[in-house]
Amino acid sequence: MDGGRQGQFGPFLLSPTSCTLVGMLSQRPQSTSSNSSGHVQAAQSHLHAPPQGEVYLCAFDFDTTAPDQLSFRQNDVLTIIHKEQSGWWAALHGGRLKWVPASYLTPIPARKGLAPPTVPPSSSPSSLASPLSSTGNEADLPVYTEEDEGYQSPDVDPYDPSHRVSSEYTDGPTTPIPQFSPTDPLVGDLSNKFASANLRGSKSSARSSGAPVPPSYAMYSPPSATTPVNYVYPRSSSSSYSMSPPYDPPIPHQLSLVLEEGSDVNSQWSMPSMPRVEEYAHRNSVGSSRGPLSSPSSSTTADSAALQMARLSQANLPWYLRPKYTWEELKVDANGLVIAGTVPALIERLLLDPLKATEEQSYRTIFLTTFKSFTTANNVYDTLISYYEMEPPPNLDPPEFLEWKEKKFRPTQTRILSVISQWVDKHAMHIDDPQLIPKLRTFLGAIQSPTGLAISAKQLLQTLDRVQTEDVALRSIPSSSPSSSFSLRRKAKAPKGEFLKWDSADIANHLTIMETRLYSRIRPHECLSWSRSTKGPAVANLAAFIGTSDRIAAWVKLSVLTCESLGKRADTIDHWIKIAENCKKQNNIFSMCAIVAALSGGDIGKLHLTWAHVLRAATLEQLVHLTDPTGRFAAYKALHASLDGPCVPFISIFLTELVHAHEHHPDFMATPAPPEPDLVTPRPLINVMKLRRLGEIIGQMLKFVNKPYRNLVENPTMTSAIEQQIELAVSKDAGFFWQRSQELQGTEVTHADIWRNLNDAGF
Amino acid sequence: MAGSEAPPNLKLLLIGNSSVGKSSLLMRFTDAQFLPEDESSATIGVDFRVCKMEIGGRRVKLSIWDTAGQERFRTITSSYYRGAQGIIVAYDISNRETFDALPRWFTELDTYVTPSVVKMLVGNKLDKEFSRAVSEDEGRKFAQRNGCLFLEASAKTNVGVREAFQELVEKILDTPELWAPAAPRITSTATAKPQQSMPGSIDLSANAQDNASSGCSC
Repeated sequence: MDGGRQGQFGPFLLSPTSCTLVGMLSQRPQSTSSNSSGHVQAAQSHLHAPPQGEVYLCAFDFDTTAPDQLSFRQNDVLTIIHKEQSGWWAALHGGRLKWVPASYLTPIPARKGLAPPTVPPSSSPSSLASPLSSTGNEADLPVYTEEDEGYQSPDVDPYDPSHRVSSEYTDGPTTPIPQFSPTDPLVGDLSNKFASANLRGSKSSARSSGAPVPPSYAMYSPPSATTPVNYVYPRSSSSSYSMSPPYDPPIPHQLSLVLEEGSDVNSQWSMPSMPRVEEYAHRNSVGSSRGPLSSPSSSTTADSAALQMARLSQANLPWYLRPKYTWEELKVDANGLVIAGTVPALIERLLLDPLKATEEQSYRTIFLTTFKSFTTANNVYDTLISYYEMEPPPNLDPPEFLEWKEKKFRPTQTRILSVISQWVDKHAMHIDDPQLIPKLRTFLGAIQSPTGLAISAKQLLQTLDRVQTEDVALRSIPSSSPSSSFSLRRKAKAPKGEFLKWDSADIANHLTIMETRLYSRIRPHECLSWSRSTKGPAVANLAAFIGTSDRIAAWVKLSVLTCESLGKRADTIDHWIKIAENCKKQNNIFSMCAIVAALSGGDIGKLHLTWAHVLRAATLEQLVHLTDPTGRFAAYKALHASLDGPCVPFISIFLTELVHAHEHHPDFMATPAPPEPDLVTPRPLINVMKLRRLGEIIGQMLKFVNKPYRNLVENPTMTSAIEQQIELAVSKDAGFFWQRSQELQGTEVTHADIWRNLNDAGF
Repeated sequence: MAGSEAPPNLKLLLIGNSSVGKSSLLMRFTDAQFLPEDESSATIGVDFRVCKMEIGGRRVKLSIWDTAGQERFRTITSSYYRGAQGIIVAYDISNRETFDALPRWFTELDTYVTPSVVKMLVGNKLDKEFSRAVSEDEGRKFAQRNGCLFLEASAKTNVGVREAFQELVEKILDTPELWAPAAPRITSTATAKPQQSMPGSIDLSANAQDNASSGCSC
């Protein structure tokens, strides 16, 4: 059994038995190695005699592309010829043997007479744990360690095997297991047999040494210790699935770093996981650098294989490492995306190993962007902090306690700091929830050990200092500093005289300064609220920003419509088009749109004779095109996507998207009907898909909030002159522009008639 | 579609105060049932929907544009009006404020659209009859004064929604100058890429034949 051979056959470490089986799978039974001849005999007899297999029902779909594995669908019936302790069993299919994951199978009750015994033979305990330290491969999957020795004896298992058998093999409803400790905080709130059955299954699996050995555990099995007849425990694994949730397979919630080193998933481990990865890598240094958990198939499916592995390993976590929530409280889709969950489950999920590393970051971001739609910042903070000092589950053996501490407690603490760090750094806790800052500082200051966490806490405090000072700097645009040597940083001339003499670039600059100031104040939670109400303090900054659009438009209208002569009106329109162009150059699309909308809107748009004298009408057309709603503002969206630098975006399309997402998705996911009427209905499940969508839109809207313009210099005189004009325009009542426009249109027509008459008269 | 003349493309616009249920009307009309909850997010967030309708044996293609969420952008929405043949102005019968805002919306319509554009006033949220704040009669009289069609509807219970769109489209079809001469231009603006840009959106050709007579077939 050399390493190369292990790698060749995927995630499970090949014992002599599997060699034999591989021989069978390859239809070359003769080629098996000599040192396992006894096994060869056994296997060959399986092959050549009519299969004496047991019949199993597939509890879930299983998809694979590996040639030596078998894909199957739920409710398929498979004949199992051989049970490898790795958790991969050989099924006879179409005259060939293929590997299938045992944990996906459930025995068919009618055939229970054929089921293998459920009591582990005495020879088994040594098979999993003892050789661990010598193989060097176990470090990738720190689920079983030396400490496992402590609970290998079947006697330790609090569950009577006969009881287990009865509940597993009967068709009828089973009763909740009474001896399941209700005081256990991990299970105290479990109120139905599914939850207890799940945990019971996993607990017994954790405690019986040879028990459910999914492929990911296979690495712990010694290369030579297993024997072909040692295939007796899969029962408990099956039982944990046999009472699985009605809507999807029991997606496990914790990933125990089963991913191979260097896989793409591994490389994306986000910060909190890193210490663990390194730690295990270090422990693994004696072994081959390539873990036995390499993808079972080609690299193209490495990702899905890794997901599969993660799922299997999480499903088999010992009870004391499992999350508090039950399967009913958190729904996860086939790709590891969180779909819905209760508030406590969603918070706890932040602290667990994800199925996919990429999912962890996206989930965290979505959570931190949108949690205010279903809970408060104080609640999230307090809940997170409460996990930091969580109590170990009661009745743990010392080795169990150590494992809990290493695989549950410390990682959770690391993640708490990491989540809060992101909250502070990227989600502006100090702006949205300043009341948390003193608490947080006290909390962080008290973290002295272990060293890793103390360092993280110190870094977090530094981050806190940085964002609080940075914020002041970021949100202020330099006010005419003479020291600037930038060519762009020229000081605006003070506006003199009439509007037409104001420099168009200066006006555009100052509009940008004013708008970007308002834009940078918009908070994500305001966007969340917008779809429910567009009024009130909950959306104050967003409303203020949007409001400037109409204010600028009013100024545009006022400046054009108060010009008495047609020529001056046309010049003013040209001037505004120039300003709009300058705004566009600075990526101040928001002001540009306001100007364009005012110019192309009814009040100014209908002055056809004035427009005949406008020189830049073609330029305006291009700008209008950018704000065209056709194809969901396709033109603007393309521009928006391409921009990266400072920008004041045109956000109206996103506002509609927010409303649509809000109306389209219910706030809560329908909860499945309880399998039995007397079960307690789970608390409402927050629809995370909705949050995901809202989070995406808000991310788009606020894409430029933290990208300030650095090359603009404000001239306060200019700003106040602009504000004065705007105030004047806004003070006009709603009918003013319309009335004024009617008057001008009338005059234009009259003048046109005079012109025509003069023309006709030969002048 | 073979054998019959190409359907005219009509652009309809939904306006009215925020939270009167514009998007619900639109979604009710175009979707009948809402997308499944876990539908991929890519399909959601369309600002207008395309829908096919058969009226009196004539097929029409509707692009319906929603301004929900943008109500505070008084000037920006002007870009929506261009090329519209029909406008639905919605208010909430249980919210007086939304009815009192109607003159403002009609002033805007005067500014932006030609008088021949067909307008329809829809009093939404008929399901909130118990807290009605605007009587049906009031609504009808306002509509008459402003020369527009009128209906009360409930997007929630699906009352009157299809009828509203149907009546509006019938009136548009009775006003050929709205669509006949402008057809090529409308084609370019209103239906530029309604399908390709919206994965998962309604497949018009697939559903059109089945229940074409019952209003919107999407």
